Amino acid sequence: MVSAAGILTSRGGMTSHAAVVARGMGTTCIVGAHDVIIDEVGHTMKIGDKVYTTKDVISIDGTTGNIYEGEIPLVEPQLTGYFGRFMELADKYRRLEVRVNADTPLDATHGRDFGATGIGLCRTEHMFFDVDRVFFMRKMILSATKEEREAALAQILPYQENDFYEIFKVMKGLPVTVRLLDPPLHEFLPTEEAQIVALAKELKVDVTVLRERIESLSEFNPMMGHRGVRLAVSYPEIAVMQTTAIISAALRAQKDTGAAIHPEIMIPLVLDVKEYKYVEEYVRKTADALIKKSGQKLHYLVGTMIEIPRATLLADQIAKEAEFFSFGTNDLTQMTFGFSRDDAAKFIPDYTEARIFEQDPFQTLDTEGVGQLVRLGVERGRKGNPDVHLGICGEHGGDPNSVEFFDSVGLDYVSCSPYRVPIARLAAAQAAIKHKKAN
Amino acid sequence: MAEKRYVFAFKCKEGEKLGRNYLGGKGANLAEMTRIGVPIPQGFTVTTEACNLYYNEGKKLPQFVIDQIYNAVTELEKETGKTFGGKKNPLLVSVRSGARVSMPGMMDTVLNLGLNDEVAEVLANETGNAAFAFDSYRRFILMYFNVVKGQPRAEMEKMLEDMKVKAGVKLDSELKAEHLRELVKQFKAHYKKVLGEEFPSDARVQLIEAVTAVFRSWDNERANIYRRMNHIPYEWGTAVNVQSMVYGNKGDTSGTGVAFTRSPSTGDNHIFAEYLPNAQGEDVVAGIRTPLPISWLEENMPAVYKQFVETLDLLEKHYRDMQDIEFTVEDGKLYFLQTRSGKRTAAAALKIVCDLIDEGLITEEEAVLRVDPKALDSLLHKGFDQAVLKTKKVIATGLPASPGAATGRLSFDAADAAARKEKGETVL
Repeated sequence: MVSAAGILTSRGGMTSHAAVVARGMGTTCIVGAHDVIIDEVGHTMKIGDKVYTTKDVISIDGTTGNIYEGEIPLVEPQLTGYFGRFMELADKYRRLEVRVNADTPLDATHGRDFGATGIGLCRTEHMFFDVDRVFFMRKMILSATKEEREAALAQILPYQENDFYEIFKVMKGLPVTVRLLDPPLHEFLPTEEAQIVALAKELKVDVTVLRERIESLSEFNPMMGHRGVRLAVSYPEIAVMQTTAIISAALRAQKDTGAAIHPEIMIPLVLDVKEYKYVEEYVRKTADALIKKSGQKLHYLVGTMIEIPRATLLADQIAKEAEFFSFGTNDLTQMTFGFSRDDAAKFIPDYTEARIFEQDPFQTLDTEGVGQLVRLGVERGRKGNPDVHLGICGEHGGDPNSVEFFDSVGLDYVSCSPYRVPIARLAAAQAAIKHKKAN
Repeated sequence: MAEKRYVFAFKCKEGEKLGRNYLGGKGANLAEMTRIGVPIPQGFTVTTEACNLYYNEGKKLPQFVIDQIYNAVTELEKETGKTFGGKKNPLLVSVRSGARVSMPGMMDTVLNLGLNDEVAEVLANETGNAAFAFDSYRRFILMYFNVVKGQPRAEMEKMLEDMKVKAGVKLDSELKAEHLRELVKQFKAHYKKVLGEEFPSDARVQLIEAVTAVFRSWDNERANIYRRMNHIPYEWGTAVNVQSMVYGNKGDTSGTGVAFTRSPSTGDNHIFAEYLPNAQGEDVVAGIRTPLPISWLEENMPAVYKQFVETLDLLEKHYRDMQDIEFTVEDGKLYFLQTRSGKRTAAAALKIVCDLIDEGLITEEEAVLRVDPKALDSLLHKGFDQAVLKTKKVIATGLPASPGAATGRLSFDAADAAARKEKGETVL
């Protein structure tokens, strides 16, 4: 899918995997074209009586769902003119700041072009999946001792630092929130036998030993498993390495661009203030030492994601220590509803069919239930620390109905995928105007 | 205590105050247009509350609602001087759905309601145009069969095609009265064969069945999908509009057309309209015949054209937005059948609100509220060159899952796609 300029499937609906991934990447996509019969083995496609091969050119319009034969020239989107004028108008009326979720310099560039005023979520896990790096990552995960782990992490550090450096450069001094490693470690490990054998050879360990080690890391319920801040509690050296990468990159970018860089380090999945403080201490110690050594001035923030119901209840305590909260409404929805997003995809259509749900709670925030927790988190957070900066970085950040709610509870910003930034800007303006009218 | 009212005439002052939540978008518009003096055929609206009542009563319309509808018909007869199902000067009506927000294509429309064998003859005599009377009648039977009874159109459409072959003509409008009379017989026979009952000749039975069918269609599969996609609550229900018919197919001084007060594709501030002489609205909408540019009306019926342009301006100033309008000319008299905020491309939407600010018709805040945030998405992606696109034929369609446009050679697996991309090829 990454290589394709467009995607066409004969099956699946608007929320199918292909559709979701395509939207995320901003790649045009048509799904469920039932008249198209695709022969994956023969590498042909049939529409009516006509057979199309890999030599044939077709054109697809992901806005209308129409498929055409032959080539149709493309025109670039016009972000100036009436669009520019209208968006300026929207910006004039909105209160919410709109940031972008961006893991790569390309996403960051798109986000900026579309008017984001910072990065609200930069995930770091994708950076480890690159072919060159995943080996060191695996080596780190499978290390038996802290020393081995640190040695492997040291080899990942330059890659990470460079990734952050490029992103900081693109954002030219706008705030960038980097989330420390979030997924459970087994997600980085191979599952197929051939890959395991190859890895054993590379690592120079016995295949049986490796298999056992991989086995031991597997979890019954990864969504609620050893992930997020819990990794940093078990292996603080990971957080230390990532902090080193972020701060070093920020210092370098600051020196090279002359603009003051604003990194914000975000500790995910926190459920208790002691847990937060335990990791925060490693982060601050590492960061302060690097800044001191550089002789530069660098203003950075440390904060947390609020995505476990317990954290919303104890938000006052956590806010006393954290400088910002970012509500992770994807996980907060999962944990509040008690179902995982991937598994729920199978039965949510039944719930909408039976009119138990009017909407998919992963697309539009459940303001009735999950919304109460967000509201509580905001109120208690501000009580604990009136200056705490509050935002949201789930999929909901780009959903107009949800944005209206976030405006009403008084968040400071929303963050969403690049192509949703203008949508969020307009939704935020509409929310502010409606809010003003209601009062 | 008096029964609660579920039926309101367009010109009724109390109905006017209820607004779109009760009257639906179309019904509220019809009431408003009557008030500001736009020439529209008169009629009445059955409220969205009646729709909810229909579902609460186990998909049945209570007798007191039926009685209110009958009373409204009597009022309409007085107003128009025509008689519903009558042997003299018969009143024919259209029955259309109208939810709070426009739900295009989801709901159903029945035209020419009130016709039966007798009334068709009366209409033929009174207009001196038997072809028109029986053309209306055969259209009505088909729509009733299709929309009210939920049966497929295909068989009847084939009968029409066969009749054209038999008569040696190409266009529907070239069929003569005798062919259309025969077609009516065939349609009625087919109706009885499929449904095991006669086509109802009682106009009042036709009307109640049609109103019920509109309520029923609120819960059909397509409507439910559209509602869910657009977050329209089930409880809103739909209203039904019953409106006296005017005929655009009464000869050369009659006709029908559609108009946008501004271009729906670019937003440019000029009238964008098409007109089809001697035709009914569905011919234009369904693309059965190719309409003429509006200049035809200007050249041939300048007085009507002048009133048309003036009314368009009145409507746009009143609604302060680009309007999508359906109109009909009956024997040289202009009627506006419908007006609503026109669907438009995202690019047009932005130009229109900016222009409306400049024209002093709306405030900046209103402009910001007017544009659907989701619509912006289509502007952020590459699009096709519209000029070239017009020359291309759609070979298949699917669900629009991620906006944008792409053109390239086909690839069927990831490795192949990656390898070819390396070589600089664009693949899908």
